[in-house]
Amino acid sequence: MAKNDLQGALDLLILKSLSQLGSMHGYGILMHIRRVSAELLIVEEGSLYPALHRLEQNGWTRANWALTEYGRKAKWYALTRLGREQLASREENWAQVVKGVDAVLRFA
Amino acid sequence: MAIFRRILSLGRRARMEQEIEAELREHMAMCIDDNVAQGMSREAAERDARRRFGSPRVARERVSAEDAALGLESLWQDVRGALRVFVKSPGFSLVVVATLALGIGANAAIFELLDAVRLRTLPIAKPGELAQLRIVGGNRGFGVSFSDFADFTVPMWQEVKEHHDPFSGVFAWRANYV
Repeated sequence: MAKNDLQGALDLLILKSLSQLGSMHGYGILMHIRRVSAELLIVEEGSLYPALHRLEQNGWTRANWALTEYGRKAKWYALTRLGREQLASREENWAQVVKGVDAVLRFA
Repeated sequence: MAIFRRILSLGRRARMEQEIEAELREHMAMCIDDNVAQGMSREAAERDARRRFGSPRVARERVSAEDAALGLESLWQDVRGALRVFVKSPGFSLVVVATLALGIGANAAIFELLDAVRLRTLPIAKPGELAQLRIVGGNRGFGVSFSDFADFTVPMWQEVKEHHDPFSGVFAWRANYV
């Protein structure tokens, strides 16, 4: 049984992006998801930042302020060990959700 | 431990708010930079960023709500919210407080009366050792039954009164069923 299913999708996207990027600020994560998904997934700022703060509060990411390559100050997020564990279980879980939804869609 | 961090983050509210604001402001700035880099005029770039971002105040509140919901902060906010309502409508608050005070007071007074008149007057040295004898099973068992528990009949009571070895004393009472 898959838990945290569809609502957890954004958390999963952020966790995965951070594992791919190493360390990144909110804007970078947003652009990464947008670019990698070929603009299929456009995360809104209004959802992204609450999610980022939720992940940080849960101890899944750690954040610190640093300059961007263009000299802007930004809060950079990176996965913690807990975050990597979380990502692993969420990825597994997501595969289950996709399988489940797919099965329902294919039912005739 | 996340919980310790949450407790520690109490009282750092103002700093957190500032940080959230700075984070969102920088996000907006990066968005504008990108738009300009893609050839938009400064003005159009700002307009587009603002449109995409929505209300910065709403965004800030949503982010801090996320932080607050996870912290003990929310409890304090509830208390403050309640106090604000009380201050805003003193008449309502007065009625609430008076109702609660009267209710609690009346209950306490009646219990004290009952306690003094009925409970304390019972000749029981050690209330902790008091036990009630009952017949379980209603009409299927012995005795006179009005409910799930049958009452003792007078001959049964007399037997108990004669042989109450486990108890230092026994007494019985009768209810008046009308």
